[in-house]
Amino acid sequence: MATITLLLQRNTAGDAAARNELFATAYDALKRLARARLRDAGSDELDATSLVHESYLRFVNGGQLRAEDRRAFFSYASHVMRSVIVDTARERLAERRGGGAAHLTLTTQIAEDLVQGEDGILRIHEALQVLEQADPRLARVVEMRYFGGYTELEIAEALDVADRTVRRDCEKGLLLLRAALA
Amino acid sequence: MALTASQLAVVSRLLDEALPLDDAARGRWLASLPKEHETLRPALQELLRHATSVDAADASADPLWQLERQLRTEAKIHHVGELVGPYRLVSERTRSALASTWIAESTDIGHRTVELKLPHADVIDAGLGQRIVRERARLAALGHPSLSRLYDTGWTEGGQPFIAVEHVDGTALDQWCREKRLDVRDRVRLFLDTVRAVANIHAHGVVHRDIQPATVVVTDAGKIKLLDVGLVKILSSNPTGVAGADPKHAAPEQIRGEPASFSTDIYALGVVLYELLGGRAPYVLMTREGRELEDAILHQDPPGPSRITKDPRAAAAMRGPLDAIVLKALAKEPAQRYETAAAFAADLDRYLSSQGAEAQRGDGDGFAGLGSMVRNPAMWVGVAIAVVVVAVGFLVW
Repeated sequence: MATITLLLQRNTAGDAAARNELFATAYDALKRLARARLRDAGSDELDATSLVHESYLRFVNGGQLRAEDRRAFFSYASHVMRSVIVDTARERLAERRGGGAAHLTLTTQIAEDLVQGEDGILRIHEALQVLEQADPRLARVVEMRYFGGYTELEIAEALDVADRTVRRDCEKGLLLLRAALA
Repeated sequence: MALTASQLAVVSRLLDEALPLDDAARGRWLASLPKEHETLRPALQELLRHATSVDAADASADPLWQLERQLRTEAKIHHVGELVGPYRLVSERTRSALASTWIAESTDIGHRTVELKLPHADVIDAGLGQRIVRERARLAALGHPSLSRLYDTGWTEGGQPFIAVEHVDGTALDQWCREKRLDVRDRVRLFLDTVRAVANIHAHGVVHRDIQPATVVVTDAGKIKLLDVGLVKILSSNPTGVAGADPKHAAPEQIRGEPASFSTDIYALGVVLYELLGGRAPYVLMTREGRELEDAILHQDPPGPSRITKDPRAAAAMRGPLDAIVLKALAKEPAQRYETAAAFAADLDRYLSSQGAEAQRGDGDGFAGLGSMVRNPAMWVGVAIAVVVVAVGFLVW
């Protein structure tokens, strides 16, 4: 299996196969972490930030990722994190229909700002898909902020823009998401 | 009013016009919306109601603005129920030289409980905003389960800066050890987790600067949590960090006014371990004057903790390697201490795993970080004499 570093570089160079492999590699790692976290903590809160940071550290310590590729990894990991969260929410919903299974809460701002629970997560995901068509750049910032759990400053660093720009984008992105949700 | 993607794209463009305006101008802008966008007016109106003025927050970077805010928050005293940014104050927890710490509740739907640090007015200098931004990025990258997490930083409309961190429900390390009546081994084991957590932040280039029993807590699950990592560096522009730190845990170099370093944290860990094992601080003071404490930190060589504990069984467990480990961390010169927290942890680990076998062999071999101290009997004689001299000194006094 190619290292994350190599995959990130090939992905940046436009290699679509690398993107798929990258996604699969990061997805598995995050999914495992998310499951372990939900089980260990005995809680039903998924903290996107700590999961992404932890997976980053594991990749770095495992020699799979160079610290220099942190930026690319973080913007990418937000996208993966969103999939993990959405899939987990779907699973939880399906399980609950069969009885049992506790509610899943996302401990990032978006859940607190907009709607809660699995239904909320899925609705936000769908609204974000609409936003992706309308304004892809804003959608990316919102994804990093609310699904990746990054601070505005970290997003600014990853996208190489002023943090003031990110703050504006987040505010506006959240407004538009609200419009798409309502 | 769920909008479609194409409507949303138009709204996005229109919002760029409306968001920079103030409330009155937004009203006029809405009224004069071109005819083709009229159907979007209710949606826009609703969205603008939710939009806060983004530009107000940006002013925090301006030094003049900061100065004005500082003057306005002078002598500000906070009260229960007060709204600070998006948080409502629930109860004051502690107050240090630099900031007061409140338990607060987020007013968003989640009602998350956080610990809110509110820097005192005299701490709010022109550099605070910059330090918050710079350190926030470094601290956010830490994300280790043994560290309390930094959630959020910001400024209120009234100019009060706030730092929201994870609320950890726990017991101070020393109190926990007392309450649970932990023996020497269990104390060392818990302390080892603390040293490892410190080694982790050091690996990320972060110095804690304020390690003391109050910033090391044990959760109900018995897990160590390191609080306030890097907070002193945010709150104080003083590179020694001693102004904010508890002077009892200050290292000699901090007293001398030299900048805090990784070695400063190792010294502070040494003080904590000393207190856990010996039951009191390393230095015995006759007065409560700060000068005497500073003098003791600079010049007094504390006896090994085994010499001061009142529990003979504990003393037997500490004598030898453990005494030497503690005193090495407490060396006056940074170069004489453990080079890294990881080396400190390694020796403690070795102590725990070799303790039984060691007692039978009767030597302390294998403690890499200790150098010749443990292996050199002549040195132990010297230490013993010094201890006797100190003891006699106390009796005479």
